[in-house]
Amino acid sequence: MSDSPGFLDVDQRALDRVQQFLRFNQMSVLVAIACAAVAYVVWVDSWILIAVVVYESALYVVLGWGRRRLTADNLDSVGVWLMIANWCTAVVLTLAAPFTYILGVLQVLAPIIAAGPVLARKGLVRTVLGGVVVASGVTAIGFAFSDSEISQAIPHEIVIGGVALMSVPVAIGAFDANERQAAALRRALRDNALIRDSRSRLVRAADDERRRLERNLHDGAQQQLVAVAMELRLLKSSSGMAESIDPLVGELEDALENLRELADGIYPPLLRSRGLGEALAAAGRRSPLAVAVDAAVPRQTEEVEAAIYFCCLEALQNATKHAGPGATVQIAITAADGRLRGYVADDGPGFATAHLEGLVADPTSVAGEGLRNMVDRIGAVGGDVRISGDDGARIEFTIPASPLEPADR
Amino acid sequence: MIVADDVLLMRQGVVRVLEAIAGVEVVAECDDAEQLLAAVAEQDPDVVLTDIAMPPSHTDEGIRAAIALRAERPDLGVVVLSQYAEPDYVLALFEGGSDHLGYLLKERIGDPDELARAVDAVADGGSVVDPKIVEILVSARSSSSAAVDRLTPRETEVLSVMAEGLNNGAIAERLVLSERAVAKHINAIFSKLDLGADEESHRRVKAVLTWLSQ
Repeated sequence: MSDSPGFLDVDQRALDRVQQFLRFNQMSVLVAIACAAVAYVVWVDSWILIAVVVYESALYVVLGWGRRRLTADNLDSVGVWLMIANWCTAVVLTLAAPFTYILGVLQVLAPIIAAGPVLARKGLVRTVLGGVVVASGVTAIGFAFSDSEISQAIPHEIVIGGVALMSVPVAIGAFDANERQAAALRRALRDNALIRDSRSRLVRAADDERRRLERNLHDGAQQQLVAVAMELRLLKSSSGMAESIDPLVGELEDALENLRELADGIYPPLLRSRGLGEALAAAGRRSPLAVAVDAAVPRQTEEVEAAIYFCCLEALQNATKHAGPGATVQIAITAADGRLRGYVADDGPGFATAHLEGLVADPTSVAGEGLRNMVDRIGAVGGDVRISGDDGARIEFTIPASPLEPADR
Repeated sequence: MIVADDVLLMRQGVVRVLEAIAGVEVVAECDDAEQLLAAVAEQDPDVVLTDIAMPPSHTDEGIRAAIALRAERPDLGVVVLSQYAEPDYVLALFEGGSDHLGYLLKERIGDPDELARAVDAVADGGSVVDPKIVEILVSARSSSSAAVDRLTPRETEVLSVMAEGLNNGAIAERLVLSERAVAKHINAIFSKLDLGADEESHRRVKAVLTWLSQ
């Protein structure tokens, strides 16, 4: 779901819930099979009990099949059909062997208790209502067709009412668990959104500061130094102090060179003025490795461009450190379907992927800091990073695109 | 000649250096690209010297102004002064053709001779590229491809100087060679790099830069 990238996948959670629900359902079917088998061995040598065992075993298989077939898309329909199959079985078995009605009631009610924290609220209301009706019906069948003394003596309405009443605490328990689960999910989603917002605020503030620093260095300090160098040279031609001025000018030029490299590293002016493609190509040119850059994507907002640029730069620096001197690096970014997808891949020896993931997960690891930076930066603009080291090191990312209108520049 | 730079200190310095050069008269000074375009329309100068980063966005206003001016007045020479040692800015500047255009780093302007050479070159229709930019391109090209390795050290030298915009005579003078030797080296370079050998000296600058940046 798009409002919770990275942290929690709501679809996956719902899927897990229904799977869990079906597992409980299968367990209650197993209990029914066991009861019928024990009854057959200990008390009644009847073909009906054998039929019960066969039927319930078939249901067990069907539930298992449905559980495996479940996906996020067919979740509702498959879940409902399996639940209905479960109820039908309880009714059919009670019709065949009225004295087993209590197994049927168990088979209908037990999944409801289990379903409480699992189902969405609307589904739970339907399940509880359906369950109460079916359980009462099963009891009614059991009593109507049973000829024991007790069942003749007690009015059927009272027993059916009793079963229906028995459903009340079951329903209350189920709804309570359901509400707590839903509240926990809501809290998790809200915290998730808060964390994401504060992370992107932090990254944005840091980037703004970088840009400010870069501009101060390029347009302030650097220009002043250039002006001083210029004055010194003018002084040189008019004062005849060439020997003492020349070394000063030389030193100033070295200082300018250092200053420019510093400012470029803080926030590359090319990124701001000409975008990702050229800024990454320039970074590739500065790298001692052979770097092929293919990043002809439309201009994006400053946050997205900075996130991608610094992520790629980090990956490039890693390649420089670890891929070996003869390695080549590929940087590619494409834009399609409202997303930017890209990767930085080298043909060096690579890493154990699990080792890299461990570095990212361990907040105290210094070696993982660069990788965590990438994950943080891309995450702050709503994207995901995948790291793999199996065939050379490869960093992949996808980010929701936020293209600039030409007028924004 | 017109000078545009939003930093007063820089602009005044540039004007003083320019006025020390014989035959240069500064007719207008501007704070931004808009003023520059207006002043050019009014004064009809031979050469414009403009800062690259000016208001409002402080990025590549100078380049965009140069391209606009060049489209309007093919004979006007424009030198862009930049604090950014990035070859991509030069390639952007030369996108529509490199004649009458120059890209110099700001630290170069303290040297009146170098500035005079650049101003003369763009006025005559030539191109000027800062040696630092050429150095970055050549070293990047050497690390990423074997093509540069096929050149002899002397040829690499000639290639670099050619990329700076020097004509054969100036190359010969700089490298202390005869003009014939320079022409021979250039032929060898163009055939090794698969470039058209009959390019005029100001057009070959763009061809060489483009090849270097690939």
